[in-house]
Amino acid sequence: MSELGTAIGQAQVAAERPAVRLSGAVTVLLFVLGILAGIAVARYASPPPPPNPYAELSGVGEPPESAALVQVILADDARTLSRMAGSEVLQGLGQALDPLQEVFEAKFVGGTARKGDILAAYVFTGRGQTGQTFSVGAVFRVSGGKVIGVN
Amino acid sequence: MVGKAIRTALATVLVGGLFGYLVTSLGGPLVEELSVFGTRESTEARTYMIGVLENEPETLASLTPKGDIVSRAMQYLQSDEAQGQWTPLSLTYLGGSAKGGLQVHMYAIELRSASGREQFIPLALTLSNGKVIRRE
Repeated sequence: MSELGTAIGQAQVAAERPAVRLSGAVTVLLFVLGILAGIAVARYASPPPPPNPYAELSGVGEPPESAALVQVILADDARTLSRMAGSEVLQGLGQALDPLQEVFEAKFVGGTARKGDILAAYVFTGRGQTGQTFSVGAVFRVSGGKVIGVN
Repeated sequence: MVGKAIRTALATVLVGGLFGYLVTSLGGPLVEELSVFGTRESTEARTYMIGVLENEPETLASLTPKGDIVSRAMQYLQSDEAQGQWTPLSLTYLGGSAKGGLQVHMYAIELRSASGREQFIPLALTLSNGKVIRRE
């Protein structure tokens, strides 16, 4: 008796609210449309950089001179660093690496050249005095086969 | 019946939109942090660099954390003094990184002074929450 009552109740509900189903293809199409709209909104919320109104120099690979210096920094070898770099380079390096006390990662991110001067950009990651991990940027200037400055 | 079909369709578009927005806005920075395809140049860093080269103190002020009145006045003074001192020749993005909310972006700029002397200078910017907190 109760089963019969439940069945009748379900039949009534089904008659009152017919199931609305979109076909599979339409659902996928609407979902894809939604994704495209979402991407458009996200792009609008974070626009690309404005166009560069100036000339742009072409990129160069990592110069071996700065690569050698970076290896010494990563090895934490102060003695060799003092032999490879003059006081001006060391001073620039100290300012560029501030506040890092210990460097555990260095990555060459790009370089460019002009009239024999090469600028090689690195991102150094390490620990500061408080133990926090930081990343800083440093640009090595290479000329005449040696590193002549760091910014 | 038609009303319900429209509601279902709208809900599908909405779910898709939310998915697309989240993947683009959260996935992009995550991919950059993992350095899968390198770091994309930030809009704020490029705008700041153009502000430096065009000598626009208002732009620079809007992209740096608000400092005290004296440092802001100094920035305007330096900008006034630099007016017409040099002409920018090129601006090249070298690269950068994004880690834990901090971004580092590096540039090479070429300038010609009023006396005709050319300079080739690097500049490293550190950004936090879209503001330049360090300029080296």
